[in-house]
Amino acid sequence: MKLQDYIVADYSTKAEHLNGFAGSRFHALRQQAFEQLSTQSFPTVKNEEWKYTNVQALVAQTYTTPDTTIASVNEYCIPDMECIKVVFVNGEFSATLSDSLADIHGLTAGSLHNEYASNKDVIDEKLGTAVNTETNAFTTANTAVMNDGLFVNVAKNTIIEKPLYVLSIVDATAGNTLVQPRHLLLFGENSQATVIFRTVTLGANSSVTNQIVECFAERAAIVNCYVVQDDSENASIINTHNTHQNANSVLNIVTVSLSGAIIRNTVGTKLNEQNTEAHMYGLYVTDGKTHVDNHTVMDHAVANCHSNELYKGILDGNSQGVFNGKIFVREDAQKTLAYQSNRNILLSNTATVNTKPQLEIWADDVKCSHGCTVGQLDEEALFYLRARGIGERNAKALLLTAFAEDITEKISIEALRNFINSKIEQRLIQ
Amino acid sequence: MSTEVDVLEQHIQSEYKYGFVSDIEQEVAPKGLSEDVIRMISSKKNEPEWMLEYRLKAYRHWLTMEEPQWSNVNFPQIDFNDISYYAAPKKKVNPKSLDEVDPELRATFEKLGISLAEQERLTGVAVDAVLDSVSVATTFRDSLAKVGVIFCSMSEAIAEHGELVRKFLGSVVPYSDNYYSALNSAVFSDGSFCYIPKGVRCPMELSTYFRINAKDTGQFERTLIVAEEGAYVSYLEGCTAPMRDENQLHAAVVEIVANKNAEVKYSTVQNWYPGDKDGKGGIYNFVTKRGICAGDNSKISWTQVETGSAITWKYPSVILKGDYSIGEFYSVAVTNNMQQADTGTKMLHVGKNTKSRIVSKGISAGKSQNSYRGQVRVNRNAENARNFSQCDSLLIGDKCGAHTFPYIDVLNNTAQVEHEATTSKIGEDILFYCNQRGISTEDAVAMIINGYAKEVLNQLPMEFAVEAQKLLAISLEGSVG
Amino acid sequence: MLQIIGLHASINGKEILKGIDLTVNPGEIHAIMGPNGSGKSTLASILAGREDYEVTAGTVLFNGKDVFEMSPEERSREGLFLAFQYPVEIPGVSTANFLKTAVNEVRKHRGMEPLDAMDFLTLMREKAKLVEMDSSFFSRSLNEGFSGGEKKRNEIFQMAMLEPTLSILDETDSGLDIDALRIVSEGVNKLKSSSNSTIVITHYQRLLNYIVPDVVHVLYKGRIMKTGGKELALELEERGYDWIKTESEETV
Repeated sequence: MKLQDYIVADYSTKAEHLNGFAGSRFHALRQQAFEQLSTQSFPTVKNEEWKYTNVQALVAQTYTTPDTTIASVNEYCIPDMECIKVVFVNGEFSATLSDSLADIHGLTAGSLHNEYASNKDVIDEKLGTAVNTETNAFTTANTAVMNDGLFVNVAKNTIIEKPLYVLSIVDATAGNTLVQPRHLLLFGENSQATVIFRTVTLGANSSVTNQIVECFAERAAIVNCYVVQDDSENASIINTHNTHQNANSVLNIVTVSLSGAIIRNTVGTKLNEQNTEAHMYGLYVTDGKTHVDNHTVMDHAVANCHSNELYKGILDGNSQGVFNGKIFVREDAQKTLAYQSNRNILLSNTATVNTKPQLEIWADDVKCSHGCTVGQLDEEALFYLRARGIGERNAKALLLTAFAEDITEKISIEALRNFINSKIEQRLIQ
Repeated sequence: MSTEVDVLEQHIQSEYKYGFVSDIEQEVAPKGLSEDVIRMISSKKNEPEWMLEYRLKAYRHWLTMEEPQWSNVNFPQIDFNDISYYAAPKKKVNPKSLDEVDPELRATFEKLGISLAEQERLTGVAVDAVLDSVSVATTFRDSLAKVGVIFCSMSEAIAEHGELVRKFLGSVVPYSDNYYSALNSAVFSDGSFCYIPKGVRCPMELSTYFRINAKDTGQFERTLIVAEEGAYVSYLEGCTAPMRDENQLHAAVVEIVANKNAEVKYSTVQNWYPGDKDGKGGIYNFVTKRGICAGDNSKISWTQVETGSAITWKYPSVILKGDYSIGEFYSVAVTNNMQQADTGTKMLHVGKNTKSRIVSKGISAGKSQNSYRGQVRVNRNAENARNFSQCDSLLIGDKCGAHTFPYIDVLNNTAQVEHEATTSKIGEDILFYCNQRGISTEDAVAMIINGYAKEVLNQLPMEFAVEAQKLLAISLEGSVG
Repeated sequence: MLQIIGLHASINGKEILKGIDLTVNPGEIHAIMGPNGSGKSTLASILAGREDYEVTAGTVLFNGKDVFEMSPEERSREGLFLAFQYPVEIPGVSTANFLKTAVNEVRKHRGMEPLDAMDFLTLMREKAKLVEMDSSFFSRSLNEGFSGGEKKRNEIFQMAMLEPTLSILDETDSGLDIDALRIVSEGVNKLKSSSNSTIVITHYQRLLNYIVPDVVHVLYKGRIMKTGGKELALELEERGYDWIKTESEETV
């Protein structure tokens, strides 16, 4: 079944097994999205927001539903990283593969599907409010069939010291597979927590993950989200990650894309109350035919907020990098500080970068900056290193690793940082 | 919040120090422009026929042109027939030595802090002083001549080095380039000419001081600098004008030619009368400045500190024609009160492996408007072009505006073009923060402005950097509090 | 050290502080806690001399001198330091240049010779260690592009450089993750002596686990409603501010 048909069938299946969702707001959102979807089509390159990212292959191919058994996920873990493991297989929560989520002080976490019964009020209040199904068929599709994903609610004044490691396993051994996880993360007042997302595809067929993360940071919460995209060359991901921030909250989000087929990240945060701080970082180190598209939206709705955005790319082979960064500074958002920068290095003549910083400023007393660069490795620096006896390959790797570390150093978990750095190093030295 | 505005207001009371009028007998042409006026200017100066022809061609072309409207400045329509196109001191024009210069004239330049005699004796800077339409004195000519450097007024150059002038005049800025360059080519009266022969490193800074004195006159000076293969020169211009209620027009053209391995550093400290705090009077400064890096490995560097003029409209540019040539533009533009500035640069990459660097620092205070307009163009065959642009705007108070219009056109994919822009504001919160650390408001402002402009001031020859730093402080005196 | 007597203040005609009395002796650490909008930051701003507020009644004596007779820079030179809740960014002025100017102003006021560049650099390096600040910050424009956490660290670094006798930390904990909070607190604790005093203003109790106060005050609706030992902070964390509100309404 092609994408649209597959989603229709998936919706029908879910509508048959409502399991207590009938009549709920949750299901009403699905129904509404399903109706919207019949009037929408998946974006083409004629759509300005998708100008450089062609998803027609994903729309046209057929999908099957896999039947998967997995005994252990140890090989998909980050070495030496202490964490709370939450595992999804083909989009569904696996209690047996996940760590126990009970008895962690101040933390409610688990399958969105399972937690709905006991957290109905808070889920109904937030779910679907950080995304817009009007403009993007992928968002609508996810909402139409949303069923499972991670639900997290961190209590007021709580620090969750260990990060949550959200591992999504997609089985594409028997055919092309589509999964559409829906994650809802709530961070209470003055709480602190870290969530890591990673997808692993099994098999050689095409996998498509159309994922939505909705994230809400209450007053003075400190939220770290790290997204690791190092999947197989046939794995595509459409990742929409939106955050709403209340006063004095801090968001750090780092998206690292290392491999895959088509990767589209739409990362947004809305600074809804004063004195919030948002740091958005991205790194893409790609080769082969990997296509990485990062769209970001930094929406300054009120005064006295601070945002900072740095995306860096190293592109080799026939890979393509796209960056579109929007900063909105609304009329009331005086005394805004907003920085944005996108830096790219092209290692081959056939790699491409399309970058478009976009500042829309309606307030007058603001401090904003943007910058973008596309370039090659600094030949003089390279020569300098070689003149000191370092071989060309190592010298290149050294310079490029340093370039990438500006981003990876923003990851506060050492084991994860090492894991990513060593992957990059291996790639660059080969 | 009102305190911020109050203190800011209080501070916007800076005085223009150079607003005096000199009592010098002047010969002034009647107002208005026609072929006859051009013939008159040319004959007053005993110009050769080719020069007159050039002027007339430019004038006829000018008549077909329209005043440009695209810049981000507003001013009433200029009546080009209400301007006198020639004014000169009556007394002897070409003094053999400084002793022959009219004492009143010398006094004028002393008041400006340019004692011609002192300059000659002490500082080792050769000065060409231009009052209204004519050059009144050039110092150090003899010692320069010994190494083959020609530094004289444009009128003398036309008379004595006609072939050189004819070869280069209009070669970088053709009269048809724009409305004001056409006007200048038709009526220019004087300016400086500077020629550095092959392999000569000019032994001292060359400098021209421009002064508008006469009423209702325009000043249309013309500067031409030619650096032959392997030559080097550092050149500085300074400008002032009396305080008058009427606006006066200044439409200059500066052309620079740098041949193979040559380097020209051109620095400007522009302090034309900016008008009073209500925007009455002041100079309209519409200037075309362009250099061409004609040979390989040549370099042209523009540095400007702009504090004056009611309206500034100026884009010192570099055509990077030679391979490995370098163009630089460093600018601090300060606007206060009702001043308007639309300034920036153009870097045109034509040759291979060319590099350009743009550092523009705008400071706006009072009710002024300050725009950066810049273009970086990399042509199809300009392989490995590199550009770095940094455009920063600093706002002081809440009634001024800063605007940035960068244009980047890249036609070659080996280019590396970087553009960075920031806008920031010195407000009450920053000043309070400094106060809380024990730093007074005055010191805080000086510290911020100098820190902000440092990168550009560092490019100026040392003695002028100090002058420029003072000038910045004076221009903004009182704009913050 | 500091005596606040019957302080009333308002902004745009709205009364924010409605009679504050507070005495801080040398060597003491006082914590001022309270819900949002209770007047905590207003009090800090008035002590440092921000002009947005109008003092309508009361006296504040700092080392016996009337602070309202002094400009903000004079108060600073006398040894009053405010660690800002939201430190500003100053473009083009490096941290080193900024602090050199500030430190030498304070030295001049104390009748000391200005520090030369070498001595100053040595001093900066030494003090930066207190808050684990990297010396690469010295040459960067003050606070420009710093994260909220880095700005707060820089505040404590400046405090170390200026050696104030009274430090007011205005919500220094906000925006700090737990690791940064530990570093900043340790820095503050190392700077503590029997002759200097600290006022810690905070909304949450967490900071007070690390900077342990001698006295805790609860500010509510412009008045100090309750004063107690460090246990009071824990009680507030446990019970929120609502019981104070209820108590205060009962007394009013």
